[in-house]
Amino acid sequence: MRNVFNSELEELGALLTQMAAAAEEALSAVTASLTDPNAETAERALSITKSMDQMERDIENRCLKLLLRQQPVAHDLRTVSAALKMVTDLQRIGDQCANIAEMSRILENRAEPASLGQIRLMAQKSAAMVRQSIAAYVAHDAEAAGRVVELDDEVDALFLTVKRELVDRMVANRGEADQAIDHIIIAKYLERIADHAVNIAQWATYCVTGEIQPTN
Amino acid sequence: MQEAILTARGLDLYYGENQALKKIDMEIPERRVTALIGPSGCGKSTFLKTLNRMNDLVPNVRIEGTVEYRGQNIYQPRLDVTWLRRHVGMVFQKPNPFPMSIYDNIAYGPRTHGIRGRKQLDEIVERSLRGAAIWEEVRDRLKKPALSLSGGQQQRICIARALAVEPDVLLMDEATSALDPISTSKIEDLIAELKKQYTIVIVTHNMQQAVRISDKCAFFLMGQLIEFGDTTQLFSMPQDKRTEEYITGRFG
Repeated sequence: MRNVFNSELEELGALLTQMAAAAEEALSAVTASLTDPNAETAERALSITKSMDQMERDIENRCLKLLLRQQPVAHDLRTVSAALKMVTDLQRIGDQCANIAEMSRILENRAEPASLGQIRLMAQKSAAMVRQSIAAYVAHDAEAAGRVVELDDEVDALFLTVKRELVDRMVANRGEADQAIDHIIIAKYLERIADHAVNIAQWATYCVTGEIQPTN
Repeated sequence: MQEAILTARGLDLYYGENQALKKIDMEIPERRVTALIGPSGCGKSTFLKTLNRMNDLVPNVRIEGTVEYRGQNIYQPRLDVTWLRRHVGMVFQKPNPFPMSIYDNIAYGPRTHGIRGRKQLDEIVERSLRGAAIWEEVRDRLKKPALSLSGGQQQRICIARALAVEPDVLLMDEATSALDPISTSKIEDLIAELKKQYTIVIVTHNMQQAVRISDKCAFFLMGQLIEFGDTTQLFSMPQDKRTEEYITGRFG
């Protein structure tokens, strides 16, 4: 029953998974761009985020077509409407990656700062959150979605650590202040990316339970 | 919860050996639209007909349990069925105006109930046709045969005819399934208007229609009431897997 519709819903999940994979790739490229002496990785990140804009349009169009043609209700309606919400968060994640890539292009000092390890960790955790939230949606797994929300606390804690360290450096050495401020802004972008992943996880939960979670 | 105007309790209905309704318990709230949905043969139309005893006409039918209209069991032996049907009117799937003028169609019920005065009948006819949102379309040709109207207009004439005896409840058995989308949307708008004054119970195969126009929705399957609740709740987060399968088209 409803074989065409079922396969269209599966395709929708596959496209969101692809877009999440692109987000992960963009995150890894921007992290590399922070220490990359030539602008290659930043350019790569920008080209990925551009393709994510196109993916967003494509997924939106599919959702609107599904609403029009299939007039979904119940779980089907939640699946399509959650996709429409999640795709916006994925696109915003792309925007944040583009912002980091733009910043890294004009970074004056590419020397590795002490906090870079933690920034990398933030990027890795955010990327994992994006991947896991979409996987939870595809698998209709509310528990897995819940774990993504927990990971966000770790990213928040890392952000606070990074900020504290960089502020200490600025106080200790005026010469490092510019770079420290740039890195604080980048860490803030990453922290926002994790928040978008939380939104996605909440829509994945909604898809299963029908309950819209309170926003943080 | 709005007060119930019709209440079924432990309602069983048999056509000969065949049990068509099984222990139905349901409270139909006043001045709300209640939709009955379910696959063909699930018992929804049978249930609708129990609400004004239209099943009395079916041979070999046996009914157990009760249906109360405003607290009164409508299956008690001494009940005046004409009285019941005056209060609980019905509109059918196919428009079935009488082969007479528009005016006489509407005046038919009131005349049966003894109203003869021309002025009073004129008032009732105008009020009922206005109530059914068709007055403007037919006011200049009230003497024309009702059967000369379009299907959608005929159905609104039937609704007007039902309204003429000032019922409390309107039962509609797939009242728009024979109509085009424009006539359907006129009837749907009309239902939204009518529910301010009347209680409406509809049987529909059109799921989107149930979502659009009903406040409460009941899902029937094989003679059982599987789920009954607020329409938005039932169509967004059904509690029973069978309801979910049916409304998402994955049933069977």
